[in-house]
Amino acid sequence: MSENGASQRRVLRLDPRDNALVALTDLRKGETVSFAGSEYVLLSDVPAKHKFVTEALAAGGEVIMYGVLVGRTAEPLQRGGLLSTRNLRHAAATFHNRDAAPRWSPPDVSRWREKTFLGYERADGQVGTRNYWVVLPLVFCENRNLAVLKQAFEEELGFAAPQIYRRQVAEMVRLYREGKSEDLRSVSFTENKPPAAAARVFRNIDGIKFLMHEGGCGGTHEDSANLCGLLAGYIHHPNVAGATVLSLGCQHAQVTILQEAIKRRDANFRKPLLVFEQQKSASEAAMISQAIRETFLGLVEVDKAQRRAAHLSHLSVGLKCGGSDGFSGISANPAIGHVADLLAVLGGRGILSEFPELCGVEQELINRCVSASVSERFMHLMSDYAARAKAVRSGFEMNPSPGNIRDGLLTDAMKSAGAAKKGGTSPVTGVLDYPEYSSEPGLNLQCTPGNDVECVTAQVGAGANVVLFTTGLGTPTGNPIAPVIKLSTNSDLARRMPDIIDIDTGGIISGEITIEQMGESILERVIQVASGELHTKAELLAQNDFIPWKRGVSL
Amino acid sequence: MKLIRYLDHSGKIQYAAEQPGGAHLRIEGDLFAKNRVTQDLASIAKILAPVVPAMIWCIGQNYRRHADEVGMTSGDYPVVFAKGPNALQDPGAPIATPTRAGTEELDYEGELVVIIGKACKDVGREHALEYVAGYTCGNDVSARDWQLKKGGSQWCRGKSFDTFAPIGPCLVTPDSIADPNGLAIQTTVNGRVMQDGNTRDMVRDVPALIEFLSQSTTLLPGTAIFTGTPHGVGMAQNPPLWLKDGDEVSITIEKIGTLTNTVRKL
Repeated sequence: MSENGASQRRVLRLDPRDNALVALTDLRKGETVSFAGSEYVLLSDVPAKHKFVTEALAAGGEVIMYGVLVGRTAEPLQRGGLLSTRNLRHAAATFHNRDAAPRWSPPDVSRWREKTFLGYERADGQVGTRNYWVVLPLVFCENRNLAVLKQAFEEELGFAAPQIYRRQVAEMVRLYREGKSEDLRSVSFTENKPPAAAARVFRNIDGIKFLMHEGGCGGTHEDSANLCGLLAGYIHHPNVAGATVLSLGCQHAQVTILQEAIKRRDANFRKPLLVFEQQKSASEAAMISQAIRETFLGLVEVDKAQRRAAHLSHLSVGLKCGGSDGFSGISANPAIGHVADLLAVLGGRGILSEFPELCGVEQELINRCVSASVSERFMHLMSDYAARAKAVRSGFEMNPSPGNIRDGLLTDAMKSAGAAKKGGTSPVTGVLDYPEYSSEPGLNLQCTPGNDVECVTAQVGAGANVVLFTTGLGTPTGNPIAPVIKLSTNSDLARRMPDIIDIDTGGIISGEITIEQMGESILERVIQVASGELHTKAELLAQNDFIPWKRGVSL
Repeated sequence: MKLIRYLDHSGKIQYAAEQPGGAHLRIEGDLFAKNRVTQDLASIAKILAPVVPAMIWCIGQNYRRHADEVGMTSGDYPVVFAKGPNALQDPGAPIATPTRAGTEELDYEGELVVIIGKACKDVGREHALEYVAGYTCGNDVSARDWQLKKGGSQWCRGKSFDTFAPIGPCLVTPDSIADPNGLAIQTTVNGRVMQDGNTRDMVRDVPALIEFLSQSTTLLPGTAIFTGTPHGVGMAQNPPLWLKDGDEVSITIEKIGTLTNTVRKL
């Protein structure tokens, strides 16, 4: 990967065109760093994940990383100078439509060609990696009824996560009652002897999930159409065997809108869909009781499903990064990009979203589009998104968070250039607007915000049955119906937060493993997770994040 | 490469190598000496434990959180005990509750199992992995009452009843697992995840265990080393989760596969 030996790699150039180098370890002011036959004297400390420039730049000079423009200098910078938010401003290259079809040399997939995973084949031909029943409200007014159902079902069916923290509260109540208020300060949580979870009633059902949300009324008609489209995507999703829908009656998001959205996704829709409308019910108790009865009978039916061998082309993988750091674009993102490439050859799908984080790499993606109509749609959605952000006096340049910046991601274009590595190198076969459902094999671009939960919620709503989520800072995120596999970009994070990290890709930084080897190893893990043999950390923590994008401005 | 040991339809015990598409090709020769993969499709009647171990060494308290949960400490020397070869059980075959001896406290322990391929003695950690034939999943089934109260202070009794050492489903050779540290390991009971760990959390890693066990002790080809279990065993639940007739226990290790056995009153 670099001219230096693996053991002493201290800096990295991401592309031969770059004029900035990334520090792989903390470097000291005054140190001389040799790279590719040149020597650089550092003008200040350069913390790991941060960058210094390899040539003197005038104010307004272009900084190139990953081979693309990631910013312009705000002041003159000397060779060996550290890039920071003080001296670097977001700047991104302009883009134009493609002038040739993409050329690509696909990776060798002979090893994977005949491989299968064990999944739930649905009547429409899609294959699920899990077997869930979902309960969802069409409007926030039904959220309390949803909570009542959740409490009733989860405990009794053995799906509830063990209440491990209740004992700490109970212990504090005891001390309080006994008047030992001084001892309250020293009560700590102990992991030993967690309360045992109840046994599962249905062996072949992974859970009953409750998709609580804040929408369905009070907004625009576009809002309710988008919400119904997203919910239809969840009901149509291969990980869902059946659904219970709670409607109030008078809300914007009408049952008919949901039904039409489902029909658009599958004209022959045949899954059990139970709809309960409160304003047509004799009483709330009557509606809840009927919902419980019919849902339970539905569960008895869907428990009959069995896992069977399915080709890897039935895998649809959401590609996402969140809590990114300066290593994201070097280790974990290109590694899952390789997974996307392998799946593209095998006929599977990859979904790359987060349009604000594709700002600056549009041209590369446009050049990869299989047809001019695909690239035109991408350009249109991208410009439209940027315009809407500008209209509310926000802009893509405001995307990087304080945590991102501390860890070396200084501009949106810099963050984007690393983020786009998740999409690998394969041709772009489809472009999806929110909340459309994906159908094209290969790499799909999907218009969503970069916000972790809104984005993963949308990817799964477009059919992702596994999500690969890279993180440098650590985030616990998960999804109610699709397993979210979290990959750390550095080994330190994997060691510190083993309860949320599934895979450590830090070996790429230390030079122990190549991006391609890591990608193959991740695909093996994807197959074991998709087959239900291994469970993700998010599943074990019951991390059921679900936030529908309202299509307002969210970056 | 993934290898299986199986019974063919003529009643003969054979070895086979799994192909990328899932098909199995028969292996000719001795697994621990000269052998070659033929072009013959294996005619599999039943998958067996991947080896018949010459010796079963086991390590206790090799994951810190597990040592904590059972109220013990990982000391200066590893806790070493043995299981009898009578305890070997095949993947998919039942774990028999010991009816005659009787137990009220039947427990599971999902573990990475190392199979020694070449005889070795006094091996340093840097060469230890050269003697490994492969890796598989194991369940260190334990009758806690016999292990801790009725075993005369020895663990061996409570861990050596017949069927108490299921291993499988396959043997994954070191060319597919270059580094046995960093493998995810999970145990489910009736579909619920009870143990979730990673071999990187071992107090002593695989090379260290081989170095220690081989001191003045020849590890014969086919020796199985149960490398210890992560936290989440049944005895550490509140109330304890003891296995009962009909319970299905599955142990999955990354890059290896899933070993499933069901508890039966036989």
